[in-house]
Amino acid sequence: MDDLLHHFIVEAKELIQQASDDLLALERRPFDPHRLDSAFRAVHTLKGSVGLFDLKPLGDLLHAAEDLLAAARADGLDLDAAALGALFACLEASERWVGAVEANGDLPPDAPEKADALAAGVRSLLDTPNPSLAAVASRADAAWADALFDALRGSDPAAAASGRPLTAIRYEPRPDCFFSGDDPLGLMRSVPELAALKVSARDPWPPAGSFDPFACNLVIEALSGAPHPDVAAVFRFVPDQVRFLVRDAEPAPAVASAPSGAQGPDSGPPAGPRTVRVEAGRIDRLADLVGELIVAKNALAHLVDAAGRVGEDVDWTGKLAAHHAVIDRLAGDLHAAVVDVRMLPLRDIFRRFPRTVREIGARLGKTVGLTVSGEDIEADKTVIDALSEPLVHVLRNAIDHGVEPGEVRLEAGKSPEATITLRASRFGNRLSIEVSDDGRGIDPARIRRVAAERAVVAPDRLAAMSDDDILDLVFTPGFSTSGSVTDLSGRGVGMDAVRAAVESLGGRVSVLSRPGHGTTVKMDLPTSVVMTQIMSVEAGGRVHGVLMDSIIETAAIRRDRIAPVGSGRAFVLRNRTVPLVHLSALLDGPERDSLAQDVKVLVVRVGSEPVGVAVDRFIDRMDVMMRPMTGILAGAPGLIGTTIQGDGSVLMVLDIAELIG
Amino acid sequence: MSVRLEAEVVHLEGDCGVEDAEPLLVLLQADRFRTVDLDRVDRLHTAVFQVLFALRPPLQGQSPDLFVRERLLPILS
Amino acid sequence: MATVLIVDDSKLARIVATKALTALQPDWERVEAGNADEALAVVGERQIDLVLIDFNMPGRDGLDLAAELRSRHPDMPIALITANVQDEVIARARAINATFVGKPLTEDALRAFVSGAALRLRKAQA
Repeated sequence: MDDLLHHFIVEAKELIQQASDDLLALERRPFDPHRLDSAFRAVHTLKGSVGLFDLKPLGDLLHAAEDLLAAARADGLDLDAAALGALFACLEASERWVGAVEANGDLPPDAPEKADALAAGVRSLLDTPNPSLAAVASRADAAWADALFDALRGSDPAAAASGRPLTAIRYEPRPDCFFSGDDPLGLMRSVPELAALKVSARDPWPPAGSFDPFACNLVIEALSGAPHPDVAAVFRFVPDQVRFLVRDAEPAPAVASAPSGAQGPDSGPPAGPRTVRVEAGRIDRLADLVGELIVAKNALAHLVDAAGRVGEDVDWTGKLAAHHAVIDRLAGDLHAAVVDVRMLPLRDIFRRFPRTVREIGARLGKTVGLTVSGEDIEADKTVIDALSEPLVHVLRNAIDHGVEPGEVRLEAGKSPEATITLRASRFGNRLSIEVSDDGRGIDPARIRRVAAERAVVAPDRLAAMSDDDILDLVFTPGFSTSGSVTDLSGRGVGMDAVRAAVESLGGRVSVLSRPGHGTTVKMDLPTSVVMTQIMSVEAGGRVHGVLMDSIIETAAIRRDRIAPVGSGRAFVLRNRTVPLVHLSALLDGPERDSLAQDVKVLVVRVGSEPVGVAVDRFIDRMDVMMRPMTGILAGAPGLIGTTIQGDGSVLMVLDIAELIG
Repeated sequence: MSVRLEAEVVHLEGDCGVEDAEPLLVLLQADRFRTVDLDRVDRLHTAVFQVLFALRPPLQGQSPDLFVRERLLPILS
Repeated sequence: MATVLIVDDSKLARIVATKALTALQPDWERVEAGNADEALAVVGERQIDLVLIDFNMPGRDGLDLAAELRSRHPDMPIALITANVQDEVIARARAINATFVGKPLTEDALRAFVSGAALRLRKAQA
């Protein structure tokens, strides 16, 4: 994908999310100027970025939303339910369209029509013909800032489009300021993140002959990328001579901050942004550790030098052990620090759920609130990324199947507004996420009936199952208990996909229900996914993974150096006789003797002895995420787990020592 | 001395403080087309800058100071 | 040639100020006062060209003293020396055209004020 477009999509999603968060907050607390400002800025910035692409309907839509927000900001216009509804509709359409652009490179065909309708809806709420007049008037005396900004855009577009607000400074030093010891340009030198500097004469210059060098006749204007308070601090002793104006960020196409485009367009996974935002402190920690590692490496070099000198009486074992201990510690710390860099707060996915719930509820005619807790808990990016979709599905199910229609709830003596609770907690390195609703719960009898109808389980087994086991059937592929197929659930991913996703992360998912009171889906997950180094090898026409940890070395042994020993074979490696087995034989597969002159051998340690394992081919070394064995293969000797390869095929990872032993 | 005339070129050097504005002005009033050399300027007080800004003498040289070179000289050129 | 009055209740602070001034303007004469009343007495007795005043002093504070001096001497360069100040203090100081000089008082901190003051004195004599 075009790099620029890619960054636009990443940013657009963030901005839409930001605006949604703000609007949700405004729905709860209508007169929050910060939230209103923030929503306006997000929409304003997004609209600007959209202008870089041929996405006019999206631009039109956002323009309308921006006008409404601007009016609310300028005139104190109340964002009532209708206005919020219209804005939410705009954001929802924007999000869908950005998704379409990401997937297909273009807006859906009906976008122009939809945009017109939505924009018209928004504009109908703007009852005054030109609602943002007030805002314009209040900005009239800020023309100087506009001029500065335009100039910056011409001279340094990257700085102008940094995506951050800019603080405009207009400093008119008093004519006698030099006598007070002021050096106005000296102050400008101290302005943090100075982006532009302009100097002009306040009054026309007198003829050179009558020029007074000690009367300051300058007006200094500047832009800074630093926040207003930081800039103002520089001018604290001349507050009467300086004015500031904070300009909203120019739409940022993210070009300036784009990571290096060195990677080819085809490298890496095709979908999804690969950017991770990392707290600076964690990067610092990494840098520190790398520094220490270099020092340790240099110390090792000294040791190598010393080893080269003959006749020195040195305790090599002790010295090497000490060095090993240091490097071992650093490697461990470095690993932990890298894992830490990959840790993201659950907030990254949780924050969009309030809107998801609101939208799904609205579509089904149900009023549903979402309470979220534990969003500060962190987990590995892999876990976070993989959880988003299953959680959305669980939330959908809860609203669609769990929550009763309002009138049913009233009859049951419940509040007509349903509550879904999304709760995350952490125990050691396990993460627990629960989604609870206060709906009707799951009726085991109904599950039994449906399971029987759909022949999900054999009738005799079904009869023998406890109610708890029965509930677990909702995770069975193809199972759906919904009486009516809605456009939300009952299609696409089912609860079986949720279970598959959670288990692929090394987690478990279960469901609890109290009929009449609600349902809880509970996921138990690791907070981090350990990457395992394996080597893939081919033997007997099949590819397997072998843990790198268990391999001492790989070797190519000439066929004529392999001799029969007892009932087996062996070869000599560095004066040591090493027994040789073929991997295919270990796996009870066909052993095809290749005609190659050299036999490829993995030397592995079994107990304390090296053993050679012949393979047909070494393929690759890789870092993979291991899934533990489940089902009938769980506990199979010699199988550690599986991993999904890039092409989607499953690779079995072997514990060779156990296979031999 | 921060202001020095040498072979009809006015050299500004080091820290040019507020007190350097007047000698600079005098030198430029005597001959508006004297070149001012900024090769060794570290700091340029606003008053000195103002003289250059108002009288616009020909300039030469690049100050070693980043702020002077990148921010102030472009305004004068 | 000019005469500077240094007003500070701390003897040590006066020594520091004297040192910094000597480095910048070795020719200037220096007179010291330990509080506002003493300072006003000195100013009444003899010619003082500029004043350095510590902002925090027991009794009448530096800003009051500066205001009093300003009313008597509209053009006298006055510096208020202070470690940290609130914005309303700055506003008042600006109103009486006093210059803030940061603490700790160093040659660098004092340089701008002293060169501005020297400029004014030179203009006044010209």
